[in-house]
This record gives sequence, structure tokens and C-alpha cells, in this order.
Amino acid sequence: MPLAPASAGLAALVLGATSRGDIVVLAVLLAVASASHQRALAVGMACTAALVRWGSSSLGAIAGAQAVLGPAGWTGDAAAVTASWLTAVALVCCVPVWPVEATRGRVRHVSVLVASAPFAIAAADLTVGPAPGGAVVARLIASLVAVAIAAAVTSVASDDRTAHARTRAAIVFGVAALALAGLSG
Amino acid sequence: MNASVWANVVMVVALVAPVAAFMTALLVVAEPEEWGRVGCGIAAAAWAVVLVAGQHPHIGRLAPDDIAMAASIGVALLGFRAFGASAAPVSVLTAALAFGQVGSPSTVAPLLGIAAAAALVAIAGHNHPRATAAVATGVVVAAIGVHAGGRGGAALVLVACAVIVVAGTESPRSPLVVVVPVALTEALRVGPAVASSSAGRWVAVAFALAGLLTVAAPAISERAPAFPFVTAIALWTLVAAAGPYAGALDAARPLAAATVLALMLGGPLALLATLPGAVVLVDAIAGGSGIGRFALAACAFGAFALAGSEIVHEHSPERSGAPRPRPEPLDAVAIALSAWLVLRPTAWSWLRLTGLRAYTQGVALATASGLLAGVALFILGATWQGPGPVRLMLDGGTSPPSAPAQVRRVTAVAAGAMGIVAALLVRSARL
Repeated sequence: MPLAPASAGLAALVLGATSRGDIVVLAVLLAVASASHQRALAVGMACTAALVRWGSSSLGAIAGAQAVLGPAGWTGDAAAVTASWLTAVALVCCVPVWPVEATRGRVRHVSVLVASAPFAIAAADLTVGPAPGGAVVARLIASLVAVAIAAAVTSVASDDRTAHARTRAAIVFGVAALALAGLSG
Repeated sequence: MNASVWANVVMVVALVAPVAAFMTALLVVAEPEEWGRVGCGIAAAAWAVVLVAGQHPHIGRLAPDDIAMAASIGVALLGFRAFGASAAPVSVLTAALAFGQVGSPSTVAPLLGIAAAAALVAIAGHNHPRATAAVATGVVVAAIGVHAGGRGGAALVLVACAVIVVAGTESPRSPLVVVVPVALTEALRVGPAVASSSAGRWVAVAFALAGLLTVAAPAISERAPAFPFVTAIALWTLVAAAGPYAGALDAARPLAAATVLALMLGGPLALLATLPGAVVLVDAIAGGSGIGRFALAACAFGAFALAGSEIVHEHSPERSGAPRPRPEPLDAVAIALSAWLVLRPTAWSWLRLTGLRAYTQGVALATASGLLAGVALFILGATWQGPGPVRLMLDGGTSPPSAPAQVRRVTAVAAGAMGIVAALLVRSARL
């Protein structure tokens, strides 16, 4: 397991789970965790889409706004809602595939989970992420579902060809999310 | 304003230390460049003492504000790091930064200081003559802007500062690099005149495009000069200084500090020092509107993508045979300052940063959790892959070879002549 991306990913996981900090810091950590400059670009676009949507870079403010107005995934006009889901999909597509010596068994599952969780939690945070006082149960469920989806996608699409396809998809979804967020803003 | 006697004495020491050390070395037939470096180190320490103590020394027409003192530290540290004789330019530039009246810093003196420093650096060598010529031309253009005054004049000064900054950062270990903090300070002083206007927005977009071009230059043409990433950061500092949107000006100071630190370190990891400034600037741009916001965001993403691609290429396995940079004691100072800036930017009172609560909370939480996770993963068998942290943080860098003596003489005379033209223009300053 690569030390720097894994550490950055776990730091991003803490920020996403607690909704503390700034989305720029979260984007930097996820970019490092993604271990590829193309995926880093997709992460940057996805996080910028959320920033443009809410007009604040504070993760606490984004969670607070979702607690008051409703989760980003089903609140606002069609463009804004679509942008939120595209942001989530782009982030889930950015999960890296780490080289693990044991290609089967528990070590591989743990590796996939550690790689997937930060991106999935960030996706849930930016799409269904109200702070306490809002629909926190929905956030918890969304986080679990996102982790499961990200881990499943990463496990299935882990060879070089599908990983490249995921990266390209992440960039396309990131661009679309940014464009729609800009339009809705 | 605090102005103790000791602070005035320390300021005088800071101003004369580089040249005094250099002259002493000449008299005792020692190594003048090494002694000059020691003098620069003393100057940096002296300015740091005055700044941290919250003093505002004042002797005659020398009354540096906090930005001038911080920029002087940057000038002295870059002078210490540079190859060749940088002592005299450092003394000239720090004096130019200090010039002014309490509460009314000079916009003229830094330009004349840059012109004098360009001439001195041309004589000393270890720089590209074309870079010196670009700096001297930039000074004249800036002087025209100061002479013209108004919003157009201020925009012209900002453009000239961009030219100076690009030329100064082209070779981070050349003594010409000492002009960069001065040009950034000049931009910070003039920038408010165009802030939140359409002129400021368009100038900012032009700088963002220039930043993108400096990163893209090697991909466009093999013959194009290869600029370090820090050139783009310096240009984004000028984007912030132009104040395209409300709040953008607040990002200029932390970005300027990050520019100097990144110049000292040189490696891609040093770009992390831009985080506090980037957060403020991103917030300001996100709160803006119109095509300018879209253009700035597109340029930022373009630069980010190209820089990422270049970093990956630079540190690819086939290029890993490049010599490992040798850390110097000054690198530890730069790394400590960078870490301090990233973790507690609000502790740097001269940055005047407010409203960064979410950032400071988050970056502390991320650092703590990242370190704990790193230790735990290391114990569990995770390994560092790719180039090591030293290679990512530092870049040994090389200085351009000295041009032939005749070329140096011609460049110095030309720079001096440009300086005289600039001095004549700024006699009737309207800015």
C-alpha cells in the first residue's frame, strides 16, 4: 500500500466524515490520494462544482446549508441537483487501484476499502451531507451506500484498461458537474 | 506605531549588513560572495526580529511598513540562497522597500531599487542578460504607469510587475531573483487602485493566461524557455493583487509569501505553501460573477493539469537518476516557515488574514489524522513509493553561467540607462 496516498486519503476521510475544514484542503488530499494527475484534475473539478453550487469553501458551511435547505442531491433546480450527483459519481470514479502483493483475500479487501472510503465519504458529504439538525440519517445511509458502491466498482474495474476508462469517465463527469453548477449559479 | 531605538538600530544593521560583509571580505582578501551570503543571513534575521517584535522603525525617510519588512526578509533569504554576488542588490532593494513615510509607503523607490539591482546583478554575472533586460524594461514601463497615474497607470504598473516577476523567477538561483519580492510588494501597493473594477478583472485574466502559458511553454515549443512552477504562482499572486473580485486582495499577501518560500525550496511539494492564499482566492473568485470568473477558473485548471503532467514526467522512473538535491541548513528554515504558513497562517499578523477558521481547523485535523494514519500504515507495512520527500520538496537548481564580460558591461549600462529614464519619469509621479 503506498504510504503517502493512503495517509492523505485517510486524512480526507476524517475531514469528509466530520465536515470540518475547507473544500480546497479536501480536494488537495483527495488529489494526492488519487495518485494520478488526471484523477486529481477530476477531483479538483468535482470539488469546484460543489464550491460553485454553495458559494462557500467551508465544509461546515456546506453541511449547514444542506441541513437548512435540504440535501444537495434533491434540493434546488434540475441543473444544481444533476451537478451534485455528477460530482458524486466523478469522485467515486477517482478511486485509485493500489498495487497489492496479495491479489486475493483480506489484504486486498482492506486495501480497496481504504482506497475507496475517502472518495465515497466525500461524495456523500457533498451530495447528501446535512450537518446535525438536518437529515443526518440520510447522510449515514448515503455514506454507507457510497462506500459500498465505490468499493464494488474499484474491485470490478481494477485492471489497467478499466481503470483508465474510469479516469476518463471521472474527468467527463467532473467537467459536466462544473458546467451545470456554473449554469445553476 | 512602535518605533523603539533598538528597532531603529536593528534596521540600520539589516540595511548595511550585506554590503558591509561583502566589503569586509574584499578588504581582508576572503571570499566576498560567501561573506555576502553571511551578511544576507544577518539582514534576514534582523528584519525578522523587528517584524516579529511588532516594531515599526523610522529614521528620516526610511519607514518600512510590515509588508516592506516581510519582503525584506524574502529579499535577504533569496540573496542568501543565490549563486554569485547578491549582497549589494540585497542592500539596495531592502533600502528601497523601506523608503517612504509612516502610513504612506513609496511606490517609486522600489522601481528605482529594482533598476539599480538589475544593473548590479548584470555586473556580477550568473544571470541571463535577456532576463536583466526584461527587468530593466519592466521598470521603465512601470515608471510610465506611475507617471500617468489613475486606474490605467496602476494597471500598467501591474503588467510591468508581471514582466519583472517572470524574468526574475526564470532562474531561481540567479541573483536576479531578489527583485521578485520587491516587484510583488510594488504590486500590492498599487493593486488597490484597480481592485473590483473591470480593468482589474481583465488584468487578472491576462495574468492568469500568462501563468497558464508559462506552464504550457515547454509543451508548446521545445525552444520556449522553461519556467519553474513558481512563476505561475507569482503570476497568480498578481491576479490576487489586481483584486478582480471582493476579497481577492486578501489572498495576495499569503500568495506572495508562498512565492518566496517556493522559490527557496524549488520542489513541487513546496507548492503546498500556497494553500492559505489559494483558499482565500478561490473563495473570492467563487463569489464573483461574469465571464472573468469562468476565465480565471479555466486558467487555474489548465495550469493545474499541465503542472501535474509535468511533475509526473519530471519524477517518472526513467528520470529518477537525476542527482538528489543536497539539503542545506537554510532549507530547514524554509520548510519550517512553509509548515507554519500552511498550518497557522493567521499567526502571521502581517498577512492580515481573517475568516480562515474553517481552513485552520481543517488543516490541523488533516495533518494530525494524516500523520497518525501514516505511522499506523508504516507499522502495518505500507511503503513510500516514487521519489522521496527530499526530491519532492527541494530542487538543487543551477545558476545560469556568467555571460562574457563585454555582454555584462553592455547589459549593465543598458539597465543603468533604463533606470535613469525611469527616475526621470517618476519625478512627476501621480500614483
